[in-house]
Amino acid sequence: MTHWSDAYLSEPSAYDEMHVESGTVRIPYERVHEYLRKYTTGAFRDKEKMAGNLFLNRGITFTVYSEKEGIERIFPFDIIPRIITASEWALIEAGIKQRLKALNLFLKDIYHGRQILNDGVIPAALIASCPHYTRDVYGIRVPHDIYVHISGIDLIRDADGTFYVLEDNLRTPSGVSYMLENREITKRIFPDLIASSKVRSISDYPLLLHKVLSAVAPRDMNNPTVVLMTPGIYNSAYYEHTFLAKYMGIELVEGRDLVVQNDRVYMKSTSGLKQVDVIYRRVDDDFLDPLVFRPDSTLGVAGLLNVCRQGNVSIVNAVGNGVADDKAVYRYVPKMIEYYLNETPILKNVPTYSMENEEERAHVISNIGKMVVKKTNESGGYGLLMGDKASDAEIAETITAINENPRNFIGQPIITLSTAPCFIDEKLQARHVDLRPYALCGPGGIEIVPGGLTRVALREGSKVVNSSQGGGSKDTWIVNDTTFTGLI
Amino acid sequence: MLARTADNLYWMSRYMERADVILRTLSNGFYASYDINDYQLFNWNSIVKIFCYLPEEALAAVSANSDTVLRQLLIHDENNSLKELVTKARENARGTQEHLTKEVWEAINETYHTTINIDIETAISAGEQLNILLKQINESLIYYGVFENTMPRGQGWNFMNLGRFIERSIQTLNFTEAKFLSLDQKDPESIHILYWKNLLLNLSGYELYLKTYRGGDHSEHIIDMIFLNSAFPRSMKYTLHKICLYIQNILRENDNHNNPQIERKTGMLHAKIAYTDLEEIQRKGVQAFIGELKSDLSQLSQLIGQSFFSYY
Repeated sequence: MTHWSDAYLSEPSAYDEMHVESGTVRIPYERVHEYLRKYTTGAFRDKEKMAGNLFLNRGITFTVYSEKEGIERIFPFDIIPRIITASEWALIEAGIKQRLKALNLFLKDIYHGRQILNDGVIPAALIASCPHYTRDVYGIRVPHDIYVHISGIDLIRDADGTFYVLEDNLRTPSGVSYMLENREITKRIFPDLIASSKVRSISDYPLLLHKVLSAVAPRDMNNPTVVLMTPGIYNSAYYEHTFLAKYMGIELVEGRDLVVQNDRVYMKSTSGLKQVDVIYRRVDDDFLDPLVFRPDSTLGVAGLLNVCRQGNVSIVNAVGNGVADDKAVYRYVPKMIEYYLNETPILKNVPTYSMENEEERAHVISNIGKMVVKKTNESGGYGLLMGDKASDAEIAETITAINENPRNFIGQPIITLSTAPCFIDEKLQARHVDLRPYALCGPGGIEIVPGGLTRVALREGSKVVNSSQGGGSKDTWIVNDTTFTGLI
Repeated sequence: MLARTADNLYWMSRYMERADVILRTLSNGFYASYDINDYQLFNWNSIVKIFCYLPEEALAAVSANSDTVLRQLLIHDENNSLKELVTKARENARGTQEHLTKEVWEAINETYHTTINIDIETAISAGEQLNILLKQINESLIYYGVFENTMPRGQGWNFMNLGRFIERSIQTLNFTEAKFLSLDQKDPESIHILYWKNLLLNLSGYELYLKTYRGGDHSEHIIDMIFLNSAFPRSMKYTLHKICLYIQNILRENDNHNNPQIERKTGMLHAKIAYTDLEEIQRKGVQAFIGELKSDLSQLSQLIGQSFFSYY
């Protein structure tokens, strides 16, 4: 009799992380495969239920406001881990480090000399028309010239397994707490499997983050005051903010806890005002300082940017980073790598068509069934059109919008994301995944904890992994190649 | 510590303490309502009145029987019900999670989830109301155990305990006041211990009372127990001592311009209990004395709010 886990519902056109073809398992997944065969679906159902309860009791939830008030949901978690080998990881690590180096240099350049525009590598009009290009920070020096302290670059694999960079998230990328919590939950539900797989540890992420934050303090002191600034308990990533503040041992502040006086920023403590040196903000640029950005923002601190300009506080990530992860600027990142580093890009970009270029626009429109069209200034899976899934009316609407304002859109060929096995409805089913490793950039260099958040598009056939669009996550294991006995 | 954090911790702790008192009162009320005797015509009216503001008619309707009381005090969306208190406590805890230990946060979070999932109608139709109450009391005990065993003895601990003991002393005064109010219409000589039993049970002091006081005038013993007995963890002597202790810790750690005033107010309040005796309280009158203490406590907590929690 065939075992339940052998009846794998795969998607033949995609690269599957676990199976070479039906019935043949890739070597890194052999242990998982054996483990699956050891248990019944009932045992997995229990493990899945236990994982759900653990998330709920730990309060790892987000509130859905579009529905009835007070609905708390857990971020869907698929219990079967995703495995990446050490050699694959080495490539990812090198590629991300290279990319971040270039992006940091780009941000410094774009807010100082703008050499890259003068040299014609990137069209000046593209930057000038970018809504996230922030004139207000032009000329502000940031400590150690680091702009992107924390990043979450999204990677995907195409049909032959090659890694591509899908998006650079250089503003306030979220999800790192899920990476850490997923691991803790996995330790509870698969203790034997994780022990025998010799998975690399990710648990020191909060300490590394604290090291980076302390190192960029503007005052030269041993123990600078670092705070994490949150929009508050109604933010969907609030759990993550508390998690990071707690495990870094720093205060979690809201805008109303801070006040600017004499070109310095202070927090209101029980014993009066206390100067703050570094703010790891999880508040978007637009809401950060009502005197400079949106005047109706109650989440920020009036005068904060001026304190930053005076060099009396470090804001992490730097203000204005959005110009570097704009979806239209994305296409120039390989050129930045060549321009600033004189290196060949290690990680590939997904081919990206500019809608401002007539030829490319015509190409995208005539092949729209095979294209994904994205709005350049949106994220989280919003403003996205998948040409193969959209209705004729949606396509027509998007084409009109493109023609009206081409700068707002880019086109990319639809990449068949790789799939990984998920335990869904008591069956082993293939679902599309991506990977978001978290890189930290401090004066000592760039560090990436070995792992990341594997996001899963839980709806059958869907390639959109964002949590706001029905995505979930998986624990991600980096394991040494030498752990395996055979060839990969 | 951030002023907002201190505020959240203080109130979280007050809500948790109040929730604990509600649960005890309800479960005692349930037992008492089964016991018909000459001394204590049990009615829910005075208990419901302590916890929520209701117009006379609504109060009478709610107090009619145990089940309507349960619906009001356990699962009503507002008006100081258990559900509201626990929800608020958890909101406060969520806003300061990084100052709570993981264990305390998880205990509050679990209490919250069991509270909002209380299925009162099923319990009523199955006659299992007490099981629900006992389960919730158990959650509350877990919270206090985890709180004692895991919280670091720092600023958070001081503010949480301050909230806890201020709330506790207010509840002790409220319950005692209600009991002495209905006493006025009775002949003190004829008062049997059963009249006081429920008050003592609500304050978890019945067993101690039986061990400590024998014979004589129960109402005198009750005054001694409630105000002056330092072994009783809900007496005014005990709670005010704790309030003083935590305020002193807070003052030591925070240099605030209101410090001298807070110190003076706390000292005076403490002295009212520390340097008095049964006779003096009786001379003043229990009601008047309770009124005085309540007003002092409310002034003190206002002053603490102004000094340490102002962040707007």
